[in-house]
Amino acid sequence: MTMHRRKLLGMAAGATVSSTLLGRAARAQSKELFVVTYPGSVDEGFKQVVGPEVRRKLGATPTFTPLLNAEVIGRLTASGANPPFDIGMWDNGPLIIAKEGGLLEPIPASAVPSLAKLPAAMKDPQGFGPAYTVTMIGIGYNPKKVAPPKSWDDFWKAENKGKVGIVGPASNLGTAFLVEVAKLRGGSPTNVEPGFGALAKLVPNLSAIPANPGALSTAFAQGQVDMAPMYFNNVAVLKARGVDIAFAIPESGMQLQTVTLTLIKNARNKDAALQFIEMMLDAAMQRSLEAAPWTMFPSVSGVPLTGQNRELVASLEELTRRGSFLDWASFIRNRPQWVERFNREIRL
Amino acid sequence: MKPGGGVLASAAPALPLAAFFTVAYLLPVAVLAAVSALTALRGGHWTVANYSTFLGDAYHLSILGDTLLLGLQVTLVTLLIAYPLGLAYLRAGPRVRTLLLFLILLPLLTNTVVRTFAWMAILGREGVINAWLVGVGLTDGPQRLLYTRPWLVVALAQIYLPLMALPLNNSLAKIDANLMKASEGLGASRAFTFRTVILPLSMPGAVAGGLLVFAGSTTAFITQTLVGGGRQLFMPLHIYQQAIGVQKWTFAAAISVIFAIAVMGLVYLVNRAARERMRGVDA
Amino acid sequence: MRELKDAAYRGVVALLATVALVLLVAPTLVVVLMSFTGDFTLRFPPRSWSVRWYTELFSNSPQIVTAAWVSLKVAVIATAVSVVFGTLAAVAIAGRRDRWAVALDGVFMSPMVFPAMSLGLALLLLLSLAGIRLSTWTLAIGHVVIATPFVIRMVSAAAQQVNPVLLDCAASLGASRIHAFRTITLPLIRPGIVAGGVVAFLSSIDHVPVSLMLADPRTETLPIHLWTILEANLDVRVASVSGIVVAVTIAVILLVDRRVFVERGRAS
Repeated sequence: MTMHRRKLLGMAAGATVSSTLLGRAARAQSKELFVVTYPGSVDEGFKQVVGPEVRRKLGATPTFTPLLNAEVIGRLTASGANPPFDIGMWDNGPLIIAKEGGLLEPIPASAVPSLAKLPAAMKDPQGFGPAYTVTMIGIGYNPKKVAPPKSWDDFWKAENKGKVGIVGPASNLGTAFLVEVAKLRGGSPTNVEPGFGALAKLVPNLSAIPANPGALSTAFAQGQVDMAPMYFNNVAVLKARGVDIAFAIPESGMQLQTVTLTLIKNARNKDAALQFIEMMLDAAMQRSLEAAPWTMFPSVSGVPLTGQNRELVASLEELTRRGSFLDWASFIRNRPQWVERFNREIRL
Repeated sequence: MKPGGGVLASAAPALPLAAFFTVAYLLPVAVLAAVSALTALRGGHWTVANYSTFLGDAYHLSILGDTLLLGLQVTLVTLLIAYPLGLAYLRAGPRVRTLLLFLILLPLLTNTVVRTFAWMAILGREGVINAWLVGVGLTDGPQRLLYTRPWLVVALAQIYLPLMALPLNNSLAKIDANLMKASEGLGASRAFTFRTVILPLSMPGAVAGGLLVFAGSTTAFITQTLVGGGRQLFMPLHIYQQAIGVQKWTFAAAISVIFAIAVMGLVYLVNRAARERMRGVDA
Repeated sequence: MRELKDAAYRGVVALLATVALVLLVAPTLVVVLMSFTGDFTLRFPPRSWSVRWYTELFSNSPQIVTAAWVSLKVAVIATAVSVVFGTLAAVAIAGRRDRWAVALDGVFMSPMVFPAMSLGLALLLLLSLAGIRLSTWTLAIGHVVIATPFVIRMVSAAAQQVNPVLLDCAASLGASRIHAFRTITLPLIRPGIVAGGVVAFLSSIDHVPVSLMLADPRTETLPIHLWTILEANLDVRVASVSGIVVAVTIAVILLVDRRVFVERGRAS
């Protein structure tokens, strides 16, 4: 009986080798596209909404990989001339780092005609790509357990002990939060000292410090956290799923970021990648992503706001009034030190 | 004893593996060591800065120390529960033994992520333990179990229990039953028999298992991160963050080397010490 | 007096043994139960029961299936290589006290205690500097290093039980070493090879740190994919995948010749 087993192993090995070779040949015919997404509802949205469209319209097989921006930079640096991705998805700060690191390739305007229709704020000035959505950072809170907060300072209130969750500056959410707190306490994006001081004082109120915004959403859904700085669209997704959660715009305003899609340098499937970017700016696609439960705020004008997006603001213009864009260029390079300092000083 | 041919002929079958290991294991480790002594991944120059930064900083050293401590804690807990399990195994009949073996193997062979996920479900706010505590009325609200050290140790102990149980059971099974009968026949209590007969004779298994548990739990990235939480920082995550997260490649390489030396060094020392004490015991 | 002490001792042992058993079994049980939850979260006990997560898995999760395939491919390659190379090496060094044999044994077994994350980084750096693209094969190579110690351990144990007199007889009767190996040693160590192969295979499927460092969307293994889902989302689909993994693992254990494992436990 054991003799058969060894033969089986041999056959299995042979089958694997042949299938790998076959696989390579088959792959050369159908196009594969590797796209970075953000962990959490963004990744889900892309898999469910964008994936089928990629297969249908572009005839390519997409693979979506959720990663934090910092990790993408790490993987791109390690892989040199063989990047594992074709399309990158960037918040404002890391986009600067990626550009400086020579990791991206500018997009020829002719390849993505929709670029011309976008307002200047919605595309990269050096031609590295368009924003496909705008994200907003505010306060996510459980209305059943916490009084509607008016400002970030509510986090420090005694009655919120054990209810607050935050993320560290390893993610952009955490970085933006740190800067915001610093500003509130008299500092600035380049002087975050007061921010660290304030966070140290926040520790008694913290119940968790999840690793990234996706994990923060999970902690919220599990009831581990009742109040946190969060992306509006993560809040919207949780709400749609029946979690007790609401979004509050702090007095100091929401922080806005554009999320840019770029072509990665030496991408294997450049043509499909460019078509992908064009497809993301298509009104139908923007509408699908704007709809519940994904609630991604459109970057393209003329896409009507619905559901929770509509409840928040009436238009992109109102959004920019009630929020502001940070000047990431001024502080993004300090981030590695902040990450280290946060790890050292802010411990639960 | 063996048919003629000398060392080369005897060693020949091991050469393919030796060659493979040289390329796939020794070479990368050499590269790791080299990179750890550079200032930059490409185009740097030699330096000991990475090492001095790590070794001279209490924060970094505490991460290393905490990781080793975690390994020690997990090893002790597994020893504590593996022995009774082994004793039960010893005195069991063949059918029960097969069942026990199956139960021990099942978690070992189940995917680590699955096992860690189980612990998240057990320790979560709305998980098994809290549901029971609140339901029975022992506490008024859910307790924070996840992301705490004691439960991390328990979770790791469960995940690595099989690695301790298997060698230990092997050792226990080899103890001559007559020795135990003799001890009891001479009037010794069971506890005494355990201390003077079973414990020393099962040491090879306990040490082998203990070292595997130590090495495994210190490197258990998934469980440390998902059950321990991002705030309890241990070496594996630290290495990953420094490498992929902030791209400090040379520093990450140095941390990797220090970690490897620490773990392997400890294992080697314990092995040596144990071998001294166990001379005469059939391993 | 002795009866009292004995009773106390038995009580403590029984208690701790029960704790050990509960600890061994409970998580697997919880996972299987959770996989049938109808909720979106990991609340226990579930508010409702359903097989929705299994159907979600099969209808809506191409990437989980892809990851499972990748894991399988890598595991088969890694197992094949480690079984072949490992068996040969184990036969060469089993039971020997020569300096070279002990040294080789030390090196071959060391991946068991070498921190996997460090090894993963080492491989990543080598591949990166050499400009070699990450692929299923590079991952498999890493896994071979991880899996081989298990093969060697199992085969060594089996090889040491082969009576050397048999080989002496064969030699005196004129058989070449290779012939003797094929006809005498190999059949006798077969249980060890199988056991080693099974453990190697399962350890490859399960492995995370090296797979994480060498991660590439083209070669995302199942544990990495599950880890990503868990870390970001706590998608309850992890529960149903887990349910399947448990079922498959049980099947594997039952399928493999149980005599191999029971023999390990019985006194020799």
